[in-house]
Amino acid sequence: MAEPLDALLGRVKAALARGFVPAPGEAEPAPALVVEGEALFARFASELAQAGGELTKLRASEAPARAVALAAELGARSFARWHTAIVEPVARALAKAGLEEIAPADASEARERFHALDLGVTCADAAIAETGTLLLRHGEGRMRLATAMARYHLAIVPRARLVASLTDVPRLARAGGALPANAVLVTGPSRTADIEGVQVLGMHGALRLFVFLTEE
Amino acid sequence: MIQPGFRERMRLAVLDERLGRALEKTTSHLVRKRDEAFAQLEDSDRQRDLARAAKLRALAHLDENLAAFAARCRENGIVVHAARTAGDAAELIAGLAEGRGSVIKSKSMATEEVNLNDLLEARGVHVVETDLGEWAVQLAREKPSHIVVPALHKTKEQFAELIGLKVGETLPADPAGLVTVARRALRREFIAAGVGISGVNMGIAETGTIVLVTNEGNGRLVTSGPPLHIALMGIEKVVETLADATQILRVLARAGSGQKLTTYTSFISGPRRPGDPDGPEEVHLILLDNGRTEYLASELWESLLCIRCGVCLSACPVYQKVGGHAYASTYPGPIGLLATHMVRPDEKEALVDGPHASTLCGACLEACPLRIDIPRMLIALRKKGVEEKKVPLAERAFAAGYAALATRPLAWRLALAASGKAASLVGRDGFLPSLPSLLGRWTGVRDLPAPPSTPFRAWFAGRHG
Repeated sequence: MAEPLDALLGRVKAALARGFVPAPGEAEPAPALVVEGEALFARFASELAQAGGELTKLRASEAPARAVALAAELGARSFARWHTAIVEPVARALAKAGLEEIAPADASEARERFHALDLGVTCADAAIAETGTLLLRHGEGRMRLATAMARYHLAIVPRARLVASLTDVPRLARAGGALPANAVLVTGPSRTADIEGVQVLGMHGALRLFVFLTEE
Repeated sequence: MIQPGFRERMRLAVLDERLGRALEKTTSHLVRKRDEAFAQLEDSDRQRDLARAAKLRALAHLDENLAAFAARCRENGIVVHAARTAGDAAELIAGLAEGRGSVIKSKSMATEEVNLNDLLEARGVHVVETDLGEWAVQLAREKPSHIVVPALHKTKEQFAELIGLKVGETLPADPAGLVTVARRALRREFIAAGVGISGVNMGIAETGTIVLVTNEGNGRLVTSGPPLHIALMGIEKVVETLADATQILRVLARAGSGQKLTTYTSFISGPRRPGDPDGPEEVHLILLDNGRTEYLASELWESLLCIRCGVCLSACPVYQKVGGHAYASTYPGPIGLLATHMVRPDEKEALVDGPHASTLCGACLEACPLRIDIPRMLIALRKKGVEEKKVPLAERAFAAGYAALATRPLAWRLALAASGKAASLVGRDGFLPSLPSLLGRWTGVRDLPAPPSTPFRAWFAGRHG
């Protein structure tokens, strides 16, 4: 069955002592992608599009109305959301526009009630231009299933959180502390090509990913 | 029942024209995507070097790194176990899962390696694969045939039939429609599941973190919904730091599918914390040896650098022609020949036939993001097969005979002269279309140019005395 960890470690040490694995060099830092200003935005826009995401650049104050318009266009009737300052005004607007907010009390209720969840609304902790990727750190008020199960995912990201390089991920994922129990890098909507190589979106995760990049 | 040998399986695969067309289409597409992705990557050679260096550092201090990884995981609330053999790992997982409800799985080569699903089913545990290709393969009661595209051998009609049978409807063979049906059906399984089982792409020692990559999002569902998450990890998957993991991510998807990154990359550092609205209550991690420490202690250690991107399969002219099932192993293709021997070292086919299922062309080495020298290691395995006298006697005798001639100049010259005379008796239009016994197989598909009646050195001496 299980063996003591020390037994495994002992075997590994003995194996290494045979001397086949060469001594590695010193760790060198990986090249960072350096892009700034308008070029930074352009790179993010291009990569996000390539990954199948849909970008809207707008002022933060415009986000609630745009979100309501988007929900109407998608025919969304239900939404779930993160409880953060950025999301709050958008959530209020969606509720006022008649969408039902599903706010489960716990995870097992979430699994049941998110079965047909239309829209997941979150912010993102960072947007990475190199690959058109969003970083989402989960935790209190920041449910994973709100995006993992929703048909559509709307991420609201302040422009200030846009960075150039994947090499920034370690720092950003930690956000000055430890890693949360769960964080995810999201690059476009869910996809599969398992059936004869034909690309289909929305296998398990979001069918469409919308990014609102906001400026004050 | 006697299993057909490797050669026979390959022969049958080559005769399967539909399989050949599917393989041609998918592998050429994947290789082209890989090439495009690396052409677009800034400073790609250096990026690959750095990714390789990160894996090398992890392996070179694997004992310390595994110890640190386990310690950090435990601090994060992950229960860490070690399993020496495939059987141990499967038993351990079955023991944890039993009585906890139904199981949903995201794609994991390691769980295939230890035959986990068979054991769970034998124990009466309901198991469902959630990756679309893996689910189709499970429904068909087959094994996957490629690391990245497990059901590449299936047509959309076959998908429609399998999924239709499962949900009790007749379904059109339309990929988008089938995905919608699959999403709904698998969602029901997800909601009911008590256990989520996943593999691990990388284990980060610095932070006690499991990294899991998918395109479909099933990895997220499997590791976030059910109250119990069990992860199985080969010990070679450890990397030292978050920065190392990021660098490997930079090349992993580019090589495997031509994407910059897969859609979802999860960083799992424990079960849910107080205040977390969702996430599993328990996370268990099983560290799997199953031959890896043996390989670490040999010249075959380099195969442990593999990040399981699958591109060597797509680049390999042998795999391109026969597909994954001919290898009859969890791990097909070039790296698969090594991984199969690693987990089945006592199996003659793994030692003798496998390493010869290669032309040593080096396409795998060229395509590999970490430049793993698979041909070198296949030659080492071939040598091992000879040394352990597992290679057939006739072949060893032939090689020994040839070596004896080739190291004796006089005997060699006599043999040359004799062969020239013999060739003039059996040759046709300057070719030897077939030769007896061992050489018969080789000449069965080649016409060997006949040795001339006057050997070259005699002709040269005559010309230039």
